[in-house]
Amino acid sequence: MMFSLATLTQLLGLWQRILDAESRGVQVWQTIKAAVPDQGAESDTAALDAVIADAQRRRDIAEREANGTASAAELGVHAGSNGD
Amino acid sequence: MQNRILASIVLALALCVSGCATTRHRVTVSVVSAHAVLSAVQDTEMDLVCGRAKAPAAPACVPLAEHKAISAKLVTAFEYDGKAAKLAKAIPSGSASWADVFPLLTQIGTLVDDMLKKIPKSPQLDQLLNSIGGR
Repeated sequence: MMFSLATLTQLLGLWQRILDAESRGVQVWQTIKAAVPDQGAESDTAALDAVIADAQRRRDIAEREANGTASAAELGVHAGSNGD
Repeated sequence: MQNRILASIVLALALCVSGCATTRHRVTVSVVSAHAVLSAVQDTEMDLVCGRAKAPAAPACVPLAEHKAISAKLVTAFEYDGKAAKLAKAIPSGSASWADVFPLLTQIGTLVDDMLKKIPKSPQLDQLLNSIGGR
């Protein structure tokens, strides 16, 4: 595969930023490395199934929030708090 | 822009810095990464909406109008997220490829950048950015 100089420069910058992020112990990296070990196709399928289910659940919550129809439990509103 | 690194994380995970063995695992890690970032943004932002139990005082809280705009973007982002996961599952069958998933992940990264710009500065936002590598 051929890369242009501009693409290579961009990729190098990208890698540097990622390495910087990883060296700071970014939580998302640690979480994902632990959550998605390289244990074969079945393990990957299980992880993807979990994402599919949770993405649907969270999408539905976001839709209710966008439409102003979220449940009280989702809102977590308490009396006397600062309004907008 | 500090938040641009979020898109970079998705892109870099696509390259699988951690040394993934197979293309499918590489894609899986990328999809799970995008989902984790989106989930963190949603959980944090919902707590920051003005008037909610854990929200900080104005101007650090998220006004309702902005919250609705962010939630609409989350709807789209989670749709991309689920679609990317379904495509990733289909990779061994040859019905999908990394090239199909990549645009969805980059669009998720762009949406995350847009959403974070709408959240006022607060300790909670700082914590979110720190946890997802946004600064």
